[in-house]
Amino acid sequence: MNENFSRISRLIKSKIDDTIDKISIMSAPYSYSYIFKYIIIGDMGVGKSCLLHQFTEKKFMASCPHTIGVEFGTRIIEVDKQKIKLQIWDTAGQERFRAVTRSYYRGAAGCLMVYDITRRSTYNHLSSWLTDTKNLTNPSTVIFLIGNKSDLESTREVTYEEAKKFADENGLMFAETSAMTGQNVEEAFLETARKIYQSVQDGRLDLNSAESGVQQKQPQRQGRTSLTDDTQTNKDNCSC
Amino acid sequence: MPESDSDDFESADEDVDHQKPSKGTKSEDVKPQIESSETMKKSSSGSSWRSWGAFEMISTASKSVASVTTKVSQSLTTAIESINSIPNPEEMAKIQVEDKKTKSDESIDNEQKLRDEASGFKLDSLLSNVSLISSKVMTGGLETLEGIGKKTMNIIQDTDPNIKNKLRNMNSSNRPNLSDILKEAKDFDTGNEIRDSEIKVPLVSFEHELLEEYSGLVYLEALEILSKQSKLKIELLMKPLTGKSLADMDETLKEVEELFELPDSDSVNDKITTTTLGDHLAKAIEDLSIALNFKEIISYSLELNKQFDEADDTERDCKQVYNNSIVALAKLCALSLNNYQKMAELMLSLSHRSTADEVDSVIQLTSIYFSLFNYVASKFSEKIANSKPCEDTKKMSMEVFMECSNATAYVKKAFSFFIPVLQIGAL
Repeated sequence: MNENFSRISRLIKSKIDDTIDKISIMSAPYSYSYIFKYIIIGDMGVGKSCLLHQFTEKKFMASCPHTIGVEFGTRIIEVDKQKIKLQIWDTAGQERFRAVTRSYYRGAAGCLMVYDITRRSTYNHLSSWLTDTKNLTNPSTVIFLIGNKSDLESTREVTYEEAKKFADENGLMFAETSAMTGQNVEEAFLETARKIYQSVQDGRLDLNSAESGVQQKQPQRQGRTSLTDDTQTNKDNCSC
Repeated sequence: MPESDSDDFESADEDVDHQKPSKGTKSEDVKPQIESSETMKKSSSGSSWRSWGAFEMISTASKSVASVTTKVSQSLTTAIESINSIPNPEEMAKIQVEDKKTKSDESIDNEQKLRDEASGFKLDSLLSNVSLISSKVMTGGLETLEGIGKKTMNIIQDTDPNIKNKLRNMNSSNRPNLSDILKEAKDFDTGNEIRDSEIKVPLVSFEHELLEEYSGLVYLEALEILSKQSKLKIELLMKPLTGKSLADMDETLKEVEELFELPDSDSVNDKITTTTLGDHLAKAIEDLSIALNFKEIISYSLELNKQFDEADDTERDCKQVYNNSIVALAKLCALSLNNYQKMAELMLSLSHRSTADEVDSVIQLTSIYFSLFNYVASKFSEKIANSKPCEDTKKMSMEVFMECSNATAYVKKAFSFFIPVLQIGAL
């Protein structure tokens, strides 16, 4: 009878191990607890895709093709010891995609609004970009104004002070960046995330609403991992 | 022309903004994938085997043993009782279910004999059969207990929707077996919980998370957004119409929908392989004036082709090959979803659209993907069969095809999102 029991328990254990094996091979445990949706908007050629590339790959893309519709990038960052996956929707600046890209604003937690400090026209269009953003996102969406190409100081057309004033008047965060040197790129993405995370902590963002652009991942996988440990210790104890 | 296009989209957006109550519901179904995974987590967190813990597991095991014992004795009683009237061969068959597990050959013979005799209504031989079976239940007890343990584990796992579908497909046989009986008992205990979660989560597999890893879900989400936006725009265009113009528009919409027929995922074009993919894809969109680029999926297919051409399968660990196959199918699925999404964006940004060509292209594209998934799954299943033999080789081959049909299901979903995108172009 004893022998039968150990046979059965061994069988059950092997079955558990087998299952856990499969699960852990096929799906690594979630290594993050939130997903934030970002959109990057702004005129054509201001360097939206290059900013994204610099942020995700830490490299400058010298020749960047025109974006079609929307491209995606992700990176896992850490805020307040919480791992957060940023899911970034990099929209096309070309006018012909405007109707399509407008559809993607909804449900963004963060919005990076980019202009080119060496082209005043891209700065002048900001009010229309801002109107779009305010109309199509929710009030809690964090908007970060980015003046890109700060490395091209000699051809600057928009001063820092002027843009800073515009940002302050409209309640936007602001920084000048360089996708080429990487200056302030990291900061812009991270500051936005910190502000969103603060809204989550303060309860200003409703996590249950798809509009919020924030998804919380249930720490379900951790339960499984700890079970793996349990069975392993059991196995050690029971090497009969 | 594009100017007015964007205006329509904008007014569509504003319209949603004004209808606050419907806004919430709208956005809620924007992300069915993510939501369904959420539902899955919620529903499974209550009943998954993880939360059962070791104690519950043992208690369930013993419960199951008890329930089997009662079932067996019940069946025996019914059988013996039924001797007074007309014996019921079904009851007898039920008793034998356990023996079937371990001594299937013998028991099939026996069942046959039993049925013959039962129909002949010979009381003596029937009684002797009953005692024969009950003695078998005793002697076969050892193996049966082991079987019970095994099956209990299956049932425990069954409450986890993640692997439920696979197990059910693997164990698919029509005859009643012990696991079915146990399952019935368990279903009775836990209500309809299991079936409910199954309905809510149609696309669940290991691939789901891998697909997220390769951005497949976000491509699908973007496509769905475009689909909904187009639908909304159609509704807005329809609103002011009455009489004949409304009927005409309705007709056009219906025509597009009828033209746009999902290709049969089972009829595979075997000319489509990882090497010929590029040509087929280029041909599928040649009549469209969009610059859709298939670079990524083509280069990944060629990469897979290198894997297929490597000779030394016998030295390879089959588990490794299996893992490669799941990754490959998830990645191909994600890349194809990306193509659909880009295609929709490009179509929607055109000022002049040719609906007939668009319909034709999407249909062609879809059947190419079906064939490609099938080709890749077959190749991998071949490789698994040729690799260093391990315990679950057969199971793995089957799962590769399960994942293949999973990828197909995602593509079908993308296909269905295209209907309003095509319809709006026809108006």
